Amino acid sequence: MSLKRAMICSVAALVATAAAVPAQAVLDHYKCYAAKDLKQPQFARTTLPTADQFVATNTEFKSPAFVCNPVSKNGSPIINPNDHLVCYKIKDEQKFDGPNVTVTDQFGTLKLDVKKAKLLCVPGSKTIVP
Amino acid sequence: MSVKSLLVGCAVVGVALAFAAPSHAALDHYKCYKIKKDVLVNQASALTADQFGSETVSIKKAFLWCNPVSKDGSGILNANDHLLCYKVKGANLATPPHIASTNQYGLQQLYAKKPFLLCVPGNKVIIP
Repeated sequence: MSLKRAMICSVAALVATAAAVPAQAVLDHYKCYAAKDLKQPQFARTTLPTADQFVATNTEFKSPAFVCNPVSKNGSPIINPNDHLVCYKIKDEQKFDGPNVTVTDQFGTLKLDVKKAKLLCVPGSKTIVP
Repeated sequence: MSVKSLLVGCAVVGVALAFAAPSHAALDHYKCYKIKKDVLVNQASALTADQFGSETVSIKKAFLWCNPVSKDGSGILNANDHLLCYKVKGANLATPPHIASTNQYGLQQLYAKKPFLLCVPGNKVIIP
């Protein structure tokens, strides 16, 4: 393939992808299962700085609590089948009483009163051990 | 340049692009906050299908709001992607899958037990 042809294709593919997939459309639904940590190895508690739209603080990661699979809901397709999350129980150093937010999702519009942080979910690969 | 050769070339580039970036490289970390809400969920159940099987779960209440978060200076990839997580009730997994997950904390070995949350993408507006 010539360089010129490759460049045309790359630009076309990138433009098509950007046009077809708005940011939120690439985010799957996730079904999260309560998980028991086998402690192989033992999770070492750690504290790291975190920053989101509500607060910047140090966050203690206490233990893994949930494993989340991308899920099809009512027949909707799974967009990224390899995207999994492991969610850890956390405790923020800074006490925080969050804002009121209005949220729109497929269940409608909800007004929410945000309270303290409970989990931090980290992307990772997943293998089912036979 | 013929149309056919251009199409073949584009297919090659498309496949290469698809394999170039593992999908979870584009997935943010999420920090999830407990919430109180003022209205009930209208939809009482949803049919779900994932790698552990298919089932209809009962949707109980909105429970967590998740923001994309920068952890240890990692940055946020998609600042507009949020998740609203509903507590759900489903069946315990008959044979709890033994999962080995690798992330930046290393290897986590877990047993998945029962479904607890269904997280749905959503838009957010902060009320002044």
